[in-house]
Amino acid sequence: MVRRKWSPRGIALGAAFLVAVVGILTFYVWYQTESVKLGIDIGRSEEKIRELEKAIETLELRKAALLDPGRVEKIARESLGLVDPKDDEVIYQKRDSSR
Amino acid sequence: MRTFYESDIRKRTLVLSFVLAAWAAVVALRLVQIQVFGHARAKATVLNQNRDKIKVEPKRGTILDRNGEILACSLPAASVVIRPVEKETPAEERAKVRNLQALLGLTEKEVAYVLGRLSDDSAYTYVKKKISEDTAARVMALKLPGVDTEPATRRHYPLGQLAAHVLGGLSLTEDNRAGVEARYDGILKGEEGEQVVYKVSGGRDYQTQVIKSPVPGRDLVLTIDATIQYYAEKELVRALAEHEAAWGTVIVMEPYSGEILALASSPAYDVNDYPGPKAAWMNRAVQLSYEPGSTFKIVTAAAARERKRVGFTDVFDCSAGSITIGGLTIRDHERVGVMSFPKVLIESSNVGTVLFALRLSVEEFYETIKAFRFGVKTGIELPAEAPGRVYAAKEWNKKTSLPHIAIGYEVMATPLQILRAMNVFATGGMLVRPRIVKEGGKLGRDSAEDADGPIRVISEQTASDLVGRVFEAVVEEGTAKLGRLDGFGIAGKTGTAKKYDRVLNTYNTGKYTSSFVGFVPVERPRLTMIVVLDEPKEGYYGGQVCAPVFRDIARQVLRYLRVPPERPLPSRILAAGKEREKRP
Repeated sequence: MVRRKWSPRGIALGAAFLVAVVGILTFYVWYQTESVKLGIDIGRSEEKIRELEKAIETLELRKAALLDPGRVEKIARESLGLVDPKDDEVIYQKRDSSR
Repeated sequence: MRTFYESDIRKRTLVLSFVLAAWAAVVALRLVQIQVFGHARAKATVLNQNRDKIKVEPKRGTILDRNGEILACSLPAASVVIRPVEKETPAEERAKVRNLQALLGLTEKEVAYVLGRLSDDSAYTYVKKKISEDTAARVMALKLPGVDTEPATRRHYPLGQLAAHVLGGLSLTEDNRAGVEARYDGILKGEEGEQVVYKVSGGRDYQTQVIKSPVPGRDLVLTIDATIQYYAEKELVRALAEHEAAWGTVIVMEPYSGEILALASSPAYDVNDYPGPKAAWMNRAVQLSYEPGSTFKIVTAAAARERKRVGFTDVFDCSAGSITIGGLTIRDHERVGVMSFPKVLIESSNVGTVLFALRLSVEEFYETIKAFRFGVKTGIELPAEAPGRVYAAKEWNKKTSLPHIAIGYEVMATPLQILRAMNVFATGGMLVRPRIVKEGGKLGRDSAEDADGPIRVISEQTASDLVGRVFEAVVEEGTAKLGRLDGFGIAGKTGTAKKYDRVLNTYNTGKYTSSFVGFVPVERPRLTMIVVLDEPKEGYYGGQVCAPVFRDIARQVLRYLRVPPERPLPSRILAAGKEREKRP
């Protein structure tokens, strides 16, 4: 029985093929993993967006409640001791007509 | 020839085949029985047990004021639902619902309803709708089988009572609403979505499939300014308390655009508690018609001046203090002597007004009243607006109606209609449609109303003459002296209308509806405003009780709008004088 001798070119081709297959498989696995990871990240981000939108809404509502003119006047008068200016204490600035 | 073994195997095979075929036939028949004859029942049972088709509530649109401040919005909430659980005993069901009762504050009636639905094996029952997310979390923490929550929204009004009658409100079940919430419900509510919830036998959801996504409602921007609304409400409540009045209303409008900056009606209610007390439901600014009394004299004066039936130098003898026409006696509040045409209005003499009104024919006067659009809704975007009442000229009593209507009786108008009439003088003779929605309120049926632009009612000359020679003097030297505002000229007219008692059939009830309507500043009007107080106890003249309210609101609003005084302030003149004295 004669043992077949592998030519260096054949070995190189085989190795390249193997590397290519392993590379493609690795890329495929990486691609799939990244896709899933990205999908999870997108899901988390969307959830975060929803949470932030909800937080914005809540904050806007809180702002509206805090800016209730009645509340503001009460604080101004009772806590800060502010009073209405007299008519001659108000200075009116002329509007800039160039704007 | 077959051996013994061969024939035995063959026999056994045949027997086995026959048994298997018989078994297969039984199974097939059973399948036919279940799947063909019992198909409908089985399908219904399976679907009922394993999935629920539920409506998904859309987020209702936000209502904002003209500066973008939130007046109404929808907050995330939850509704608690219950489903029957297999093999659960009635006692267990009762215990479960009692648990929920403690947490959700259910009434006995609500508990009975839920238990009834469970005993009927109803697939899906709402235990409590629109609870807060915190409460929903506490419900879920109980881990009660068959109990679940589903997302919902709850209406919230961050400014509480502010602009209650404009916003109206929305009941918890959303089947009862008022104000712009009612008028614009179609665009605010959005479109419902639909989803299928798949669940395990214990009743817990494991998958949700959206069939139709909900479409959120559109936002609505009102012409209301929350700060001006606050000033109006604050001063109105103060005046009501001071004069122990039954009710009151204030409307503030931009003269040229007709945009309502504030519309206050008291008694009011916290919109978060809608519908609130019944006495507070009515938006008296637009839903209540009353006999306006002397404020209606602005129309009489316009009719007479427009037709040149009266001159500013004409004088009228009012010294008798009363006048009787066709059995109707009209009196002045005090004897005023002989007065010129402007003075008649400045002092609000009923006798004098009747005397110049009698120079008009019934048809002419009626024509002017209709030109001012009395007896017709203004078209403001609020529900249940009253049109007021003006009888057709042919129905008028030939002798008494004209003089009586000339001083504001026998005619019914809403405060908004009186405001609109005074606004004609602020705009130089144009009738402007009042509006309360700035953006987002386009309804199909509004197109005709939008085309309803300003209409000329009287000439610019008539308007400016009456403003300059009469209505400004009403505040400077007449019945509304208490309404004077330093630095600004106010034009207006007071009204003190006797209330008619339908039971006693008389006006002598000792009850009055007091009002003041006007605009400020006279030169370039920025605000037209009406103040009405009903049955004030401490003083009842319009100039006494309403004009000061007008002044106080106008002072704050003009300062807020940064409108500089059009006239020198008295204190400044004094200060200048002192400075001059100091000079050598």
